[in-house]
Amino acid sequence: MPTIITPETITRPVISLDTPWQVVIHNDPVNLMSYVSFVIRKIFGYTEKEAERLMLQVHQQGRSIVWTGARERAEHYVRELQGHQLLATLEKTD
Amino acid sequence: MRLSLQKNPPRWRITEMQEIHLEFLRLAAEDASMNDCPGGRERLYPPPVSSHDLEEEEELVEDWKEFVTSEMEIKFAGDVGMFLSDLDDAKPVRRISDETRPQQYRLDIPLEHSMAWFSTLNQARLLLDLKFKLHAPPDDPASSAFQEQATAEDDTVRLLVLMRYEFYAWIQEWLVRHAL
Repeated sequence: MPTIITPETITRPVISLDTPWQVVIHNDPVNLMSYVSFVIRKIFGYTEKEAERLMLQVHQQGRSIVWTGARERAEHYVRELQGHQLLATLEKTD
Repeated sequence: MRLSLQKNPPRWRITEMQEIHLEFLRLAAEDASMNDCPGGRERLYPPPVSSHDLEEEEELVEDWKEFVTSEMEIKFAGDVGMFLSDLDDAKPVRRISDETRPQQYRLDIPLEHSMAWFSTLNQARLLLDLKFKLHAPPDDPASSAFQEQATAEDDTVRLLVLMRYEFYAWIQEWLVRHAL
């Protein structure tokens, strides 16, 4: 009786992690500080204290990373922020 | 030039408005226009990525222009339309005992229109800033050129621009704190 050799299949799991993207708000001299803080709270649901911290970072350092995660979501947030007339972009994390 | 803002759900109200306040508000729609405003379009409808990523993200940028920008254009124009329509409802108010005082107006605005008001005043301030270089540093060539060649008429225009810019900001600050 012939021997049937079943080829051994080796499965190597490949885990592909998408590079996280970050949402950046850039400073501009026109938007009111209170409004920037309000928009951050409204869109991301952050606490007043956290929104204030991020807004001050924008104001003092010229930009602040306000969210990091999947690209699709980042695009959504940039769209929302720009819809509120803030200067916002998405970029790959370093 | 006193002006009062009050929240009175489901509306908010502007009282003690004089002709100049109304005129300034009417001008907000014009201030929010991109005519004679190079750079206005880039400011209101910026790309979704920074300049150094534009090439790498060409497809996203093109899609953004086609879908997101056009959607925002409709929204921002709609906000200005709602703002102007609300302004048409300004009602003259005059107390019989006070004939010598200037004509005053009252305006009731639905609270749900607050965001459209904010957006319109913000568009106006963003574009006034660009048109008149309000935040250009004094040593900026564009800024100093403006000042050196300025006539008395230019100075008056600039003063009125600054008055409107601050007036809009004052209303916006109230809207953020009480109405949005």
